[in-house]
Amino acid sequence: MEVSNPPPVKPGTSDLLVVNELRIWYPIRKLLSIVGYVRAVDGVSFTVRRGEVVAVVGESGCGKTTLAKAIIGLVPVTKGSILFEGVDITKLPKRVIRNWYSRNVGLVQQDPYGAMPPFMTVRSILEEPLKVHRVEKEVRNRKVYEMLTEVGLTPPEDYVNKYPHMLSGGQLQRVAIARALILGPKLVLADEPVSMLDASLRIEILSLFKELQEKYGLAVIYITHDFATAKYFSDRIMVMYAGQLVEIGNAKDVIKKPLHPYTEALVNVIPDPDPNNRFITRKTLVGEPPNLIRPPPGCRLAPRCPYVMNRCKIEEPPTFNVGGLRLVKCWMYEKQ
Amino acid sequence: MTFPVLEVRDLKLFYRTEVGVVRAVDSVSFTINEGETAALVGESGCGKTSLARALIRFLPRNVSEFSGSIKIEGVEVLGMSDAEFDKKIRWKKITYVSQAALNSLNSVMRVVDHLIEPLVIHYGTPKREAIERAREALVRVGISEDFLWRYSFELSGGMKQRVVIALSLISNPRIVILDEPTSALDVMTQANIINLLKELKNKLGISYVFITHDIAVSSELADKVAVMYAGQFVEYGPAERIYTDPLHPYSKGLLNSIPRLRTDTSLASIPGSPPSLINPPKGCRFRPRCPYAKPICAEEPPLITLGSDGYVRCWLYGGK
Amino acid sequence: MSMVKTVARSMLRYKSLLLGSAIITAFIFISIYAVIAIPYDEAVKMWNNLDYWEDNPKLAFPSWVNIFLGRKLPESIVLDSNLVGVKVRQLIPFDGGVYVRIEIPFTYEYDDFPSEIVLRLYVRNVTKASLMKLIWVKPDGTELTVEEGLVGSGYRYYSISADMRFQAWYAKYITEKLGRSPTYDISPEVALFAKEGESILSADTKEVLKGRYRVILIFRSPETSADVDVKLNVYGKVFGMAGTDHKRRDLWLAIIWGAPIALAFGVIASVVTVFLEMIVAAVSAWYGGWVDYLTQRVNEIMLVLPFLPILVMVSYFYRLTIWTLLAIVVMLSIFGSGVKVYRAMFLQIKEMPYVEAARVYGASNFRIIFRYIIPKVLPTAIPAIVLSVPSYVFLEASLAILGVGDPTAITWGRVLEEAFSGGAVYRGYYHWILEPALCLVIMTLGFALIGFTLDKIFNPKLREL
Repeated sequence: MEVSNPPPVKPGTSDLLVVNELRIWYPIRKLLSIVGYVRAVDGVSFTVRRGEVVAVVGESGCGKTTLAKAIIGLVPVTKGSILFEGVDITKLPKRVIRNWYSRNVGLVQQDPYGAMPPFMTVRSILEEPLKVHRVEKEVRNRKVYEMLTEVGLTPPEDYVNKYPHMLSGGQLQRVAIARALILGPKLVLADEPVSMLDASLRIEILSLFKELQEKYGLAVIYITHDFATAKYFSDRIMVMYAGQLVEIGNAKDVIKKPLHPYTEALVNVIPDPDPNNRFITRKTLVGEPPNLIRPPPGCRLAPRCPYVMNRCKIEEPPTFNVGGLRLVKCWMYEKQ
Repeated sequence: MTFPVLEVRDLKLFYRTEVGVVRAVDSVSFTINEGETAALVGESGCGKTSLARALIRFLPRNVSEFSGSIKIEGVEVLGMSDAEFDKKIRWKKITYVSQAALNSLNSVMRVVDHLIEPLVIHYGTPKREAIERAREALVRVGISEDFLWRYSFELSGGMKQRVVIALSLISNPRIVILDEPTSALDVMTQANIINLLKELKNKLGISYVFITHDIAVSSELADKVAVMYAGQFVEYGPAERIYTDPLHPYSKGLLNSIPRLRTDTSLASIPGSPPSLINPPKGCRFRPRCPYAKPICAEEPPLITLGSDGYVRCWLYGGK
Repeated sequence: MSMVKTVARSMLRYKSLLLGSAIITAFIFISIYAVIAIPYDEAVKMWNNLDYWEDNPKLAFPSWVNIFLGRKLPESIVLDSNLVGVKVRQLIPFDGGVYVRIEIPFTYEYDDFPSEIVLRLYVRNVTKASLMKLIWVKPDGTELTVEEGLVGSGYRYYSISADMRFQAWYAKYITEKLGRSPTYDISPEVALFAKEGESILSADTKEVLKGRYRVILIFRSPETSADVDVKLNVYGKVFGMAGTDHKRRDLWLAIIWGAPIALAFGVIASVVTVFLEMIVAAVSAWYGGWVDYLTQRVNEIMLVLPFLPILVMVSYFYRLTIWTLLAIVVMLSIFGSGVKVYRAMFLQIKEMPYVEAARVYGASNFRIIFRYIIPKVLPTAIPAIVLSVPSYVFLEASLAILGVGDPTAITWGRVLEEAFSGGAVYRGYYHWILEPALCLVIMTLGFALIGFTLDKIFNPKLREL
């Protein structure tokens, strides 16, 4: 099996984030008793190294957004741990998360207009995180201008007093990136940061993001449903299905030679601009992802999988390491 | 065969607003032949949704100009009265699947009620026959007929989209306008819907006007491609040329800015942003962002015909 | 800053905002004037001190009514012997004692009779009864003895208008003089001011005798140190800018002082209520869980409780000043329907991406609620505040009419209440009812104009209306 070399280990790196058997189950209440759980994230383990970009790819309902929110501390966790620099943030009191953890993570959201309070100027928006962490006025002022220059909104004087509705989607997303980076975080979560922007703008914003990521050695978790941008932007790709991690590995490898049947199907159905596309019928998976309240026994893809075996319907496969940091959760790779 | 089902010449659609006249569709021309699909590709604000509305005549109150020529199967329809268009053309010859299709189903109506409505109201088909045709329509889009009696809130996103497509086909139209039919769907569901559309295209010989901002998806159906910018078509031609060797600088820029899954090409973005449709700049509208701009671009570029291969609106290919 | 500019630009676009602001500004100026010219405590003392209004007529119309009627209704004339007239004081030889004669002339040029005539005598240093006689000399020379009798020391109040004895005497007198009886009961005011000809016999034809009148008071006391002063009030039918009420109080005071109280009551109640409602809603929506559950149930109970009957009940048990009334109104309102509305808005805003972003960079709950959520709600809340001011103003007025509230306060509602109980409409004293009513209506109109326009500005979707 072909596997390319693992990505070069950057000097002085170690695991920044270690997620271990994470489960996030939302209780379903009827009156005052709990009748079941929605298993939004059901046993996910992976690591993110310093300065690494990991893309989390999956369709809606696969749990990627919930996972991301748990990592930045917005959502409580049912079981498992999330270790950031060795500290389990799921056990931290809210106060510590607010004071310490929030300085280490940043968030860039999908909707540039929704992510900005409409009644605040760009200056105020960028100053807020600094004010929350009690940074003095001169330092704040300097940082605002610095960040605006970093994200390409120059001259900064032209932008500080503008309100969000006066800026375009692309410009606002740059402000969002500036805001996410202004506290000097080590980890940034980008949740579909360019999917609401025009196609010709996406590469511009992603290149900027990539530039800053390399400059500051940021680790990025990039959530998307778009494999193509994931390939361009990330080092590794992680595929999620029905709340579980089904494949993770080097970005180019996962796309060139997907191992998990679901990854394979996903890669197959995404088109590139090609005039021959209209003559072919794509091989897809019929059906729907399983119910997260009562997932089927065994592998969750079994009802739809073209390679399904009897064992898949009974027993849930573990995650197999197939070499070179590639993990696949599928019985087909048992003997590796 | 090359029998034109839709011929559009110099179509103009302007809106009057508080801040000025929006020239949403500013002299658009194209032809679609029987069984052909034309993709209309453009970014937000280029006027493609307005063009769709112009073709199906869902116009708002503040229209200040609606002129040109639209011929459906050789019959001029632009001059028709609203009543006549409503009776003879809309939902008979040409139907429309809108962007927010998932929200266009009434959650207190059953699937069958949705499907029989145009037949009963528009054509006066008796109810029993209409239900039978509804059943056929559902099967044709790959939904089992039990779903006829379900309410629309019981359906998943993909199924709703299929119902909407069934609805658009039930009157056997010649032309179906698909306005971003898959933008709100997951990639897998999108692929299934595209497969369905391909199948219907081959089986029924319908012509699609496929409007989308996603160039990659457009290539799944398009025989011809129109690239729209600032209310105009800057290039129009066969899929073979547009996707592999586009002529207009904007088309080139657009194709260079899309990440490819299967190849590793270098990418570049287009600097700047599209002009407002109110008071567009004089001359070529792409000039401020064009890497090939010349002094002559200050004048409105001519439409250079490329034989049967469409046209391009750019000084680089002819004119003076 | 840009919000101020937006408002200024909208002022020019929307005439209703201009008009509404003009009205409210006018009321604000009136209020400032009232507060500066006559401080509150003084005003309340004045209003409730009936002696202060002694010289005003009862239920007089505003003087400008004369313009519309074409006739000159009489204004009040105060004849104070300390200030006008001639006083002669003579010691009586032989018999002893003192003789005082006070003569006060005045001119009467009005077209109508006075409403009331009152004589006040101030007798000093008398231990035994003394003699007093009041003589009335009309311009045509007719002399009438109005009062005659014994007086003791101190202050004596004679309502000549209510003097039945004089009325009866005059009836006989005029019948004798003219040979025929009058067809109606001639009141003393008419008696003293009418032309004593044929015209006086019928109520429709009675005519005022214009000219120079003289009032003569004769006083005789056996004690030499005795002295007397007299004040004769010939009360007119018009007074001042706003007329008077049944207690002779100048309604102008009530009109101008009603403005600051109405504004204060309305604005404070409105702002404090909306503000507190927003906080309750914010806490309820943000914390969720049992906090939300409990707050909503309390809210629902409060919504069901009848507002007005409770206020009436409280007022029967406790004496309410206008400020305690305000406090109770606010307390009853803060769990009102506004909470449900704001909670719904907060629940929505809570899910907005920028709130999520704030949580990620570590903003505290307090900061999020006050700096991110409430400012988003303000554009909706501000028109709501402006529009609810008049309802609180009206509430105070309604409570006053129902008899609830502060009986000593000077508010438009109080005046309305007294006007109603005093039968203002039936008895034709329209000014008494219309003045406070119009003030209430115009103030409401002002706030409504501002409020609806602000709503259109802040919520552009309403612009088509």
